[in-house]
Amino acid sequence: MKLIHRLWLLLILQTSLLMAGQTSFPPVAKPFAAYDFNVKDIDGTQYRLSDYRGKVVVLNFWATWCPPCREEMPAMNRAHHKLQNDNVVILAINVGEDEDTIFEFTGNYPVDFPLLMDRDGKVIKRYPVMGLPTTYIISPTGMVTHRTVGGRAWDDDNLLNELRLMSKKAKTRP
Amino acid sequence: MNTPEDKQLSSLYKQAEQDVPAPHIDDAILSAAKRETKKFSLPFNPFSNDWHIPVSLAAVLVLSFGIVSLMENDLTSVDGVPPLSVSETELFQAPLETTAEEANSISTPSTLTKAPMKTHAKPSLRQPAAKRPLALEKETTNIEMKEGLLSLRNREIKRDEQLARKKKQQSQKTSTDNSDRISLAAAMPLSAPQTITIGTDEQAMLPYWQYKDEGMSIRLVQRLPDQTRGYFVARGFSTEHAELIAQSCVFQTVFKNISDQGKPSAIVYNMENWIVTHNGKAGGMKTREKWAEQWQKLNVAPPAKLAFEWGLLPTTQDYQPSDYNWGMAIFDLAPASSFSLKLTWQQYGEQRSVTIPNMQCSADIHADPEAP
Repeated sequence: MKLIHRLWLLLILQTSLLMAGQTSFPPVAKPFAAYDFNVKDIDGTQYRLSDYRGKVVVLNFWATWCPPCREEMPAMNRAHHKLQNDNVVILAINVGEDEDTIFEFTGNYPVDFPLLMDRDGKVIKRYPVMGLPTTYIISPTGMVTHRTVGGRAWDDDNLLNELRLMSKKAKTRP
Repeated sequence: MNTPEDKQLSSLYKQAEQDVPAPHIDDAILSAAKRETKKFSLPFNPFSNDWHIPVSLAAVLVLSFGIVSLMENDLTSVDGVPPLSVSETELFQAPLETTAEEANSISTPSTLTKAPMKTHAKPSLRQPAAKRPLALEKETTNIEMKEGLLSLRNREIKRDEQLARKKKQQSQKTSTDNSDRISLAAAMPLSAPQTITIGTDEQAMLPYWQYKDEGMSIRLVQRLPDQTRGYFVARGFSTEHAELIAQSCVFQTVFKNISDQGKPSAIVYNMENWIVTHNGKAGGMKTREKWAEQWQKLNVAPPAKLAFEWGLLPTTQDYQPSDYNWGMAIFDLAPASSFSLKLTWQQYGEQRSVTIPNMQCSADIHADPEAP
């Protein structure tokens, strides 16, 4: 009987391990400190990354000419609305384009979260981005912990719950 | 013992013995009892111990499978860089001699070429690579080499058998159908089929060449030189500089790690290792770094350079399962050139490669306005 009980315990532990290992956001090989940028959005409002310490930041690099970037933008906007009470923020940094181009884009793809501009590509160079879109998850302590390359269904409940969990974990830490 | 009471007791016992039923009656009672016992066997009790053994066995099996799966994932995809390993087979597909039309639906075994044993773990340029202790690395490499040699021999035997079978099938094949899929099922050691598909991209309405296996998919769609001109002029290039790009054979490319649909594993590639063969001469891709040097010399404006850099498929990239990129791939060939492309990448702890034959750069078509 003891053996059977031990087996059950092992089975439960193993299932938890497997569940814990199933993450939709691939972790970065080695978490690194997120570069603290200070850039404007298309309305001229200044945004500094460090202002979001204490929150999970979804940092998306994109461009209007990039098909997967365009494709994921509506889902990202829906995610923004669903996460408004969850201590998670979404910031999208456009690479190389001007206000007019981005404004025109928002005519077809309404976006309610900040669209920041990296006109000279200085911010993107401070992150290990190889292709667009690339999205980083930044922990409330300012560390880049996860990365996705290519578009995602950002409003998928599993992904949203992962972000919520990251936010909650950070809150419970002393 | 010999008292009168003892004698009396003894005689009583003897009388009692006579009360035992006759053996045939006894047997009948016994068999009737057995029948009744069988009839009223206990119903299934979930709290009895009967189910514990099979469930425990199942638990052990699930446990073992899970742990092995976790270990495999750790080895292949955790850090985005596969572990150092020995390429036991590097696969080259000889350019098919048939044209795409002729090759329609012909199940073609790719030519399997033994590659020299070598270690290869080329980490992404900017991503920090995970390192294993040197001793462990050497030991693993040795074991992998031995295993590699053994399995290579086995596969060579199997491959020869498969080739013989396929040749026989091909010689018997007298007609082709309209499917444009070339199966490379015999090419790779894994069970999933590898296919090169040629067709017309639904969105661009231009020809594409696509390779797909269980973990990776790449589609290269022709771009018309005019499309490329327009695209880059709109992003700040002069017509002269845009022309340089337009005349260099550009393909819109989608590279995907599709291993999330099966056995997850990271992909690492370096475009510098891809080989473009045109008119018998092997060359390389024209990467964003090579272009950057050129733009520097030509004093191209920074916004245009930035748009160009991010518009190209990354020169090196590591893709976790379900990651993908779109981008232009530039072959540095004249319009309408035909060529073959040998792709190499690392996945599942080994180097993989495939040659896509008979690719074609778009011709430089200038559409005249239609007469009224």
